[in-house]
Amino acid sequence: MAAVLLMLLGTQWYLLFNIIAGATAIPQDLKDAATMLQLDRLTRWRTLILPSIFPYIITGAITSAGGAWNASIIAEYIQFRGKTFSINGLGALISEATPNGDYPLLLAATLTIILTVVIINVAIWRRMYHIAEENYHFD
Amino acid sequence: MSINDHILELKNVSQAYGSVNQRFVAIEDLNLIIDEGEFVTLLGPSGCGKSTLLRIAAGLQQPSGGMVLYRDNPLLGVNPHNAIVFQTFVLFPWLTAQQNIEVVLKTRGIPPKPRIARAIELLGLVGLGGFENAYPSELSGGMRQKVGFARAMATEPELLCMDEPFSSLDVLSA
Repeated sequence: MAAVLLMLLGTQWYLLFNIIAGATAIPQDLKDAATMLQLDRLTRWRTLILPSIFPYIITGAITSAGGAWNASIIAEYIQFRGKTFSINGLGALISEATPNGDYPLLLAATLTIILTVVIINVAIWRRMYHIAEENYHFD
Repeated sequence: MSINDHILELKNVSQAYGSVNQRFVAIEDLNLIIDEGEFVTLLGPSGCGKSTLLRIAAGLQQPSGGMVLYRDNPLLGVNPHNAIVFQTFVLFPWLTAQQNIEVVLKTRGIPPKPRIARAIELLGLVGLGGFENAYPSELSGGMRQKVGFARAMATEPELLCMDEPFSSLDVLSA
């Protein structure tokens, strides 16, 4: 749990800054139209704001996920004041295998991460980008 | 005829941009009165302040000087009885033509069945029958402008402001 929290702390900024960028990129005239049409708050969020920032959320999420993979190597295996804290995880495996010189294990763990990332990329992120490009882009 | 027939009144409206050193005056000391049932056209060369004036009249922008009165009440913020047809159409790109109109009716609390019927009716009125499920990117400029019209009419406004509304339309439609 603590490892997850640590990774979150490190990677939330990617998401935040991308969303801020998205929010400032909402075209002023669309905002004016929404105001003029008297859209209530919920409708404004659902029809204007969320669709507008959807591509930015995806970019932020992908960057965050990548950062989280990197962070997992540190977060899952920490040596602090002579004590070792670790949980079961690929990041921990890599951290342990490196100083021990256990190269087969290191290779296996790294390859597993790579495979997982590629599968997630194709199965999830590419699909999301396709949706974003098809439906939520501005002309 | 009482003086309260005025729908819109602009009193000494001015709009200037920039600081003291680099001040650009778009509109200076403009007075305008529009009564019920009137049809007013603003003509002028590009960059003379027509769009700015329209935005001020609709309440999207506060003038740097002067006052806007709607039915004798000062306008603070956007006017709910005024609909604008924008020069650049400004439709939601991820909604179909019908959905663009429906969202306006939905905000006003109209239930689904009458909402759909009214949206289709409005689209038929502007000559877009059959294109209800088209996205704005799939429509020509003139068709998008027509959707903008239909959307403005969906709000059933007392005052309709149109910014270069016929620039994309063919002669017959206009």
